[in-house]
Amino acid sequence: MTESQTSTGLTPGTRPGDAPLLEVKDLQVEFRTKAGVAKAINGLNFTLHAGETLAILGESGSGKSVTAQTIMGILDMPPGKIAGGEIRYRGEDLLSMPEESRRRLRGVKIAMIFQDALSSLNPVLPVGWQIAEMFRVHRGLKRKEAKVKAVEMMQRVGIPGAEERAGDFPHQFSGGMRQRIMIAMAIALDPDVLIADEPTTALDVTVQAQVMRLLKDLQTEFNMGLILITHDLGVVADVADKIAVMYSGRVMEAADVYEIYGKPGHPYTQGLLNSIPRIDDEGGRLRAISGLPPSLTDMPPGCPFNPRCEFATDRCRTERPELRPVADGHLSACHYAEDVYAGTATRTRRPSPTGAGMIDVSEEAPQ
Amino acid sequence: MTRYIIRRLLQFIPVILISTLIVYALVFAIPGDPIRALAGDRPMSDAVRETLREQYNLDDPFLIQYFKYIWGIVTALDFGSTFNGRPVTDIIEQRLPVTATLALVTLVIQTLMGIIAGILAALYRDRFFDRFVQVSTVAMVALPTLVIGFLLQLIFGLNLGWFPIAGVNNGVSSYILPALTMAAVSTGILARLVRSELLDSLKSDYVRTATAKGMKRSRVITRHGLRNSLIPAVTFIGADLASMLGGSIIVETIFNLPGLGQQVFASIQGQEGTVVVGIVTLFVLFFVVINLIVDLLYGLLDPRIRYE
Repeated sequence: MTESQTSTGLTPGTRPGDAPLLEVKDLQVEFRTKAGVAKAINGLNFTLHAGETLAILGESGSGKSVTAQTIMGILDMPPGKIAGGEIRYRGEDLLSMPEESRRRLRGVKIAMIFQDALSSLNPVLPVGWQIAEMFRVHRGLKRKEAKVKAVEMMQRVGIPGAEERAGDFPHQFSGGMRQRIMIAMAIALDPDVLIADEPTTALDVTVQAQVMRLLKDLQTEFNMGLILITHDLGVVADVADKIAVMYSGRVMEAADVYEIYGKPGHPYTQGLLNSIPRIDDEGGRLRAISGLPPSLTDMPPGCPFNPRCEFATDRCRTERPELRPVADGHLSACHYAEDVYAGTATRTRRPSPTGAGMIDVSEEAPQ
Repeated sequence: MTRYIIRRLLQFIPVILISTLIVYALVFAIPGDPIRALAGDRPMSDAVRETLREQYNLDDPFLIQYFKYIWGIVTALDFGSTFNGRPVTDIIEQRLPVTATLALVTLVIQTLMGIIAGILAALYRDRFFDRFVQVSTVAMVALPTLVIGFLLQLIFGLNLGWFPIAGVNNGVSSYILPALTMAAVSTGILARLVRSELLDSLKSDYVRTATAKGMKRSRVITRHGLRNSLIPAVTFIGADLASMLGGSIIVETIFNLPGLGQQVFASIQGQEGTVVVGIVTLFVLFFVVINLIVDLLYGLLDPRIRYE
């Protein structure tokens, strides 16, 4: 049965193009664990337009991957639970949609690339078959036609000898080639939204650049909205249009890439940028952010970053800052965003010389 | 691949030689005079006894007896005969169908029940059916074959009268209770194996990918989850099929089935070495062939396995 003609069931009155491609509003996701309710995402907001690359940046546990899985609808529930919010694809709320309609968007209109291609590809099925499955199931193509399409996709993502290699299994490819196969599978049906969850983290540095270049090219070619999830500031700088910095399941700052790198409006972003080692920097100290992210089961009141923030005041410890504009198209969730943005914020605590805020690279062995 | 198969086939030779030698030695070691046992209470003249001893090489040293036996097989396909003069091949030919049918019915029962129960338990994890499978499989594995056999005879044979209690005079239905008895332990193990493998597989990254590709849940499970989780089950079923012939000794005795197992038991008691060795050799041969087939099948199911 072909599923190509399926209507997405758009609400009457809204035409595609009126609404942004993808809009996440006040999303809240929790995990029920034995230690209590872990709030992985606490009121997440962002929008994505066609042809735009949004980088979601954050450290481990900030909720990046949970965000991706929630948008895809592949979050394990239970233990996961969507506690509130909306995810709108072309104006239509994915979360209130029947599972069957949602399944037909999955992989077709909204596709995803995973971090570890070796474990994410089925080890016992030929890669060509795995790509062809998209055409067979969603487009109703015959086995042979689907195979031809699969080989075309493999050629498109730059796999040498695609025709002969379509029958090979994932373990017979190199890491970079495997990730290209993942990409071929994800873009097979020309999706509107592509979510790449740490697509280059498992790869060699030299291969990383090639894969990122490929993603960027494909995005331009297919005019996709690309959500790039990463913890790597270096990867983001080259390809992203907009950056959303996540911390403790919230967006701390969102702006276009030049704004973020040039004039960060949040102390956390500032800390992240300062922690990048610079080759032209004299002296041996790496300026890491002190402390650890708060436990998701036990959030501090006020701003989640306040225990680690150099500028924190009593207001930060009691009142949670909302995400608000500091400049045109630049949002920050900090009470003192304007001061941080202008570089005039006053430090309330001194980075201690021995530990917090400073790691002495010359004394501590690299881990 | 072909080289691999040839090498495995060549390995059969020492395996069979050594196993027959061991069985031969064990039968040889049974105390008492087999000819005297054969004669029972009736008197037997010394001349007859000497002739029989000579015919069966009973006065030769052990190793000479063994080599004469092997030589007979290799040169003339002569597997020896019973003390009554009946060729061992004759006995095997007559009794093999019974044991083969028993093994086949057992295989079908345990494969179907074990795999289906395992899949359902995994899909309905922690629900009633899963709990039921968990508890009942423990009972199946823990209860001795004898107890299960007698219980089935009592309930389904005697009280309900659904199946014959013993013998092979009712076609396939005669084999149902013996096969259920023999399948009990393996069904339990198989169900648990499939359950845990499928649960692992459903949690894997590639199943998540299949879901992200927009596949229906049923397709995700059958095409992506199940395929991988059945590989260990195939290995288990193969190994189990091979060891089933050993299990047939008890079950055929409980249900009075005239198969190879029952014959081995009787021949050990009668110290008829050639019969025991003949049948056991068949068991060993079956065992190694099944193992080879399983290993080849494994390579078909899992492309990561290479034969060097």
